Amino acid sequence: MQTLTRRALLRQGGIAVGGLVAAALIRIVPGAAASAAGTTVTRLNAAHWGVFTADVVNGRVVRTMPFAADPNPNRMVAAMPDILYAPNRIKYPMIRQGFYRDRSRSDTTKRGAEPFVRVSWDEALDIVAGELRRVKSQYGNRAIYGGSYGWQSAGKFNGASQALQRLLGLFGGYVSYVNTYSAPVLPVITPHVLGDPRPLASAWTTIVQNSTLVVLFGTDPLVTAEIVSGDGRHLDKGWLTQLRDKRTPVVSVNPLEGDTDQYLKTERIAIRPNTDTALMLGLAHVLYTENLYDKDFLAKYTVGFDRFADYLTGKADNEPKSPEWAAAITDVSAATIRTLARRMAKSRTALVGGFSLQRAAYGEQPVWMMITLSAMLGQFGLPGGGAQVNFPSGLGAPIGSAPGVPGLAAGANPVKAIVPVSMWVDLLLNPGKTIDYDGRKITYPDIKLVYWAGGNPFHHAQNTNRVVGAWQRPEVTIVQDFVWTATAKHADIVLPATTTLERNDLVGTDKFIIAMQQVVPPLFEARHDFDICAALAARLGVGPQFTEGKDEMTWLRQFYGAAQQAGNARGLTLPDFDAFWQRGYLEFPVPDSANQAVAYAGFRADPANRPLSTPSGKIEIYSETIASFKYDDVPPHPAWMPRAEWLGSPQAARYPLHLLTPHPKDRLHSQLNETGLRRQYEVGGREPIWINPADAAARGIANGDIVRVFNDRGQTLAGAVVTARTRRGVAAMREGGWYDPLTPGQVGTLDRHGNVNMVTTDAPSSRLADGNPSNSSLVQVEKYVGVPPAVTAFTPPPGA
Amino acid sequence: MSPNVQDAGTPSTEARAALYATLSGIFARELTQEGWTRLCNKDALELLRELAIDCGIEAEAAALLQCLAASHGRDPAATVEELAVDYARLFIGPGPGLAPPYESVYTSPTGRFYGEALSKVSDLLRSEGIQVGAEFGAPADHLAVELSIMRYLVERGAARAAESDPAPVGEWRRQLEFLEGHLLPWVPRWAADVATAGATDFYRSAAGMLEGYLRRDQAWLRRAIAGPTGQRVDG
Repeated sequence: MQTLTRRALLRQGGIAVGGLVAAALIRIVPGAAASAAGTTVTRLNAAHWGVFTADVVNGRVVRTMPFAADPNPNRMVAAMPDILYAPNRIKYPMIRQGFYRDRSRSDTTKRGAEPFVRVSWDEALDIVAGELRRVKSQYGNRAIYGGSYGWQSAGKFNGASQALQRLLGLFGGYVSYVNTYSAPVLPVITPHVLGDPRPLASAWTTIVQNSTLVVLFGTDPLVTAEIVSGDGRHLDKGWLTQLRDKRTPVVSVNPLEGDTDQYLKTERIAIRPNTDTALMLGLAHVLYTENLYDKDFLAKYTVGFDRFADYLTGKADNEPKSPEWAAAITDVSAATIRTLARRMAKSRTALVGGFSLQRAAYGEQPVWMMITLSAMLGQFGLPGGGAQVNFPSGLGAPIGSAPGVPGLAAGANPVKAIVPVSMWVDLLLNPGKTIDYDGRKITYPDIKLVYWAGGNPFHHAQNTNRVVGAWQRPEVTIVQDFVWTATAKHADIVLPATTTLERNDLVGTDKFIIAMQQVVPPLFEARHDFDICAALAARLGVGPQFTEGKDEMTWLRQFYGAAQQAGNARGLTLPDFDAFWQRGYLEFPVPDSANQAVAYAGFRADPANRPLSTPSGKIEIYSETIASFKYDDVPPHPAWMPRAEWLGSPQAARYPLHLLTPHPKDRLHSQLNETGLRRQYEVGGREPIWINPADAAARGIANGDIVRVFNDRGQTLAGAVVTARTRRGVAAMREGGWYDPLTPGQVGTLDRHGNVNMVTTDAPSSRLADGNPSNSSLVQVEKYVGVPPAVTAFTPPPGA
Repeated sequence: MSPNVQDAGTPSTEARAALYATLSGIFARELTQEGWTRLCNKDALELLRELAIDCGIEAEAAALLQCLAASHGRDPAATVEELAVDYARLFIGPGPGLAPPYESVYTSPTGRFYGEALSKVSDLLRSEGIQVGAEFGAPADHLAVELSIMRYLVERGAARAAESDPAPVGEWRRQLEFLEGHLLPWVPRWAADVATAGATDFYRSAAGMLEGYLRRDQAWLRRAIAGPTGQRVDG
């Protein structure tokens, strides 16, 4: 009887019980998915690390493979499904709990520590639009930071920061940035020396053909040239192979033995970090005193050599920059310096500098000095000679003949306020402060709202603990991305964006136009950056101006049409858009003239009619302009200056290891760290740190040990790789390991995982460029005792 | 009517379907204030208790029932916000969430979404001629979808039983296959993560009750398929 009563109750009430949460019930409905089981669909797409094809089976990407035409693809393209399907994808619009409750009056020290709540897209967009309107009316557009530096997309249309800046520009403007974290100093110094923020580079083919000696300074092109910004072919390894097969001697000045050093079996000079300028001065001193320099070239093509020579010989400061002087600074023997200088003078010598040189305190100096050294050799503008300073890898690619593909224009920014890229932290911390920059004064506005789309400033910026504090200053922080970066975790409002695999776009390089074909529809509730910004534009009353009434494919057709027209003007006929899209890509040849391009050959041939854009029209070894700035940290000619942190500084007594932060292998900065590629390089689940066997032994550290890396700025764990690939006194951690604070939101907390920027300095490189000097940091390393805390940066929970 | 239904310790199909539906609803999304208020209602609690008794999981359900009963007199808005925050921490993010409710995350070698498990669930949906309503916005190996598929299979079994077959062994086999092939391989580990990381009694106890229920339903299905002769069930 009791059973029957209960059953009767259930029969009446069973549906009602299920209906208790009816709003969330999932419907199981008749009908099958559209595509037949087992069908494989292949699409072409592209990322910064290469073009790839994606195989889709039953709506799921099962693999991504390198573009067939790429002669030297890397394994990063195979990791694309890991990005798409990362468990730490941002799935829905999310708002930090305290902000959801208290809005701009929320406790901002809870950023990064407090949980989130999910909201609908409509609610999230209304709140973002409301905050933008509020900040604008309360403080004006100069209170909005929209620099949003990043490298999320290789496409012309879906650049996240372009879309954001287009929105904010139409909304009345925003504070932005100048220069890049990659090259913070180069584009500031070279206009003074060569008259160009992006100095020319000789085609690498001319170096292979003509150089009889190649001298690399601080570069590892086999690693850095993995990044090709969506291009179809990785060409650099081919040139290096040709150089190797030709047995061209390659000297590599580098405290670290890079992959390139191993591949080319370079003659490595394991210099003390940050002393390249002193080494080059020593070389210059030999050329000068042994009369091995080209006086005619200096007279005809340069200005100010005499004043530099006074410094070089010690006439100006009683300190001849002799090989012995240089040896004491660089830890490179005077004999080695003499021999190298004589070889350089005897050879057709290509000087090749990586970007690492200028990501250091006084980063202007090695760039300027390398140009000066090449001028003394008199080979500037000759095939196989000169100084290559303007490529991250030091390699100048011959320029192909593709017509240009325009992209979504960020448009005008009515607010004329820019700060050097890495100074955004200082900007947030010090409203009203005035800094020097390239002969100007910049006064910081008071930032109340930060909106970052498709970038990870918690990774880019040095001295993460200062970032954590700075990020607590604005009233509102909004982050738009596809994955829970440290930046997203520290935001108030998080908007889910699509990855490159979920949208259509176009790559346009000098060699290729590539159709980035949508591989799968957007996951969860992710939306395209353009669509998110368009929805905000509509709420802010600038919708039609933002979209111009066009959707994704209409924009792509327009961009392609412009390339067609540009091609027509040069007698190139491009197929119509649909035929192109079907085919997937167009490749354009490199003309012979481009393969023979020699930087500044025109200037050398005819300096009167093809002068440089410097005040003198010549190479400025002494710059009157820089002299007029009267910066005590940038003399008017290249010079060696000891810095706050290097192995020769008093600071080294406390922190005796110089920490270098090379470009990572197997990822683009912090991008891809969340993928399975991590397992190829991590040590004990942490970022690896290279440490010399002698330094390791002195600290009781064995290969594979978990170590603590620290200085006054911060501390991080890492996994020890004990290796002679780094010289004594030098440790190396690649940049881009994700930040994983032991106590989130707390300044000074231990990073569990290995974000090198816990310990790097953010002191501006000089008053000229205010660049990020990430390679000028001293640290101590000790063995970590006890059970290290589990890494939580991206890993699924323990049961998974 | 199936003779089993009258046996002691044998659940009614209505109760089984209702429990799957309720648990699916609990984990599909954050509860609205309205949903929460209804769930805590005295009649609803009584119904839940009856369901638990019917399905033989009184012990496993006790914690959840106690949690719901204890909420009386508390501000529902504050509770719902607290639950929404815990739901997000556990099941959405930041990061992967502390217990992402996806079979693929717990069964793929790299802990990714959209793994082989999803393909298998999709294949099953296709072979059954059904699909998930598009409005849900998460892949079909989400816990709540898998529980809804169970509900669907149980209801379909009941419908067939009502039509003709008093003991629809084939339907039970399908249910057991799905339960053992898709839910039981990962839900216990997931429930342990919820138990460790959950900040609210509600989600901790609901996950515990779910795990208990899945095991109990597995045991019942095995017995039912074996029949009175007690022959063993494969797999």
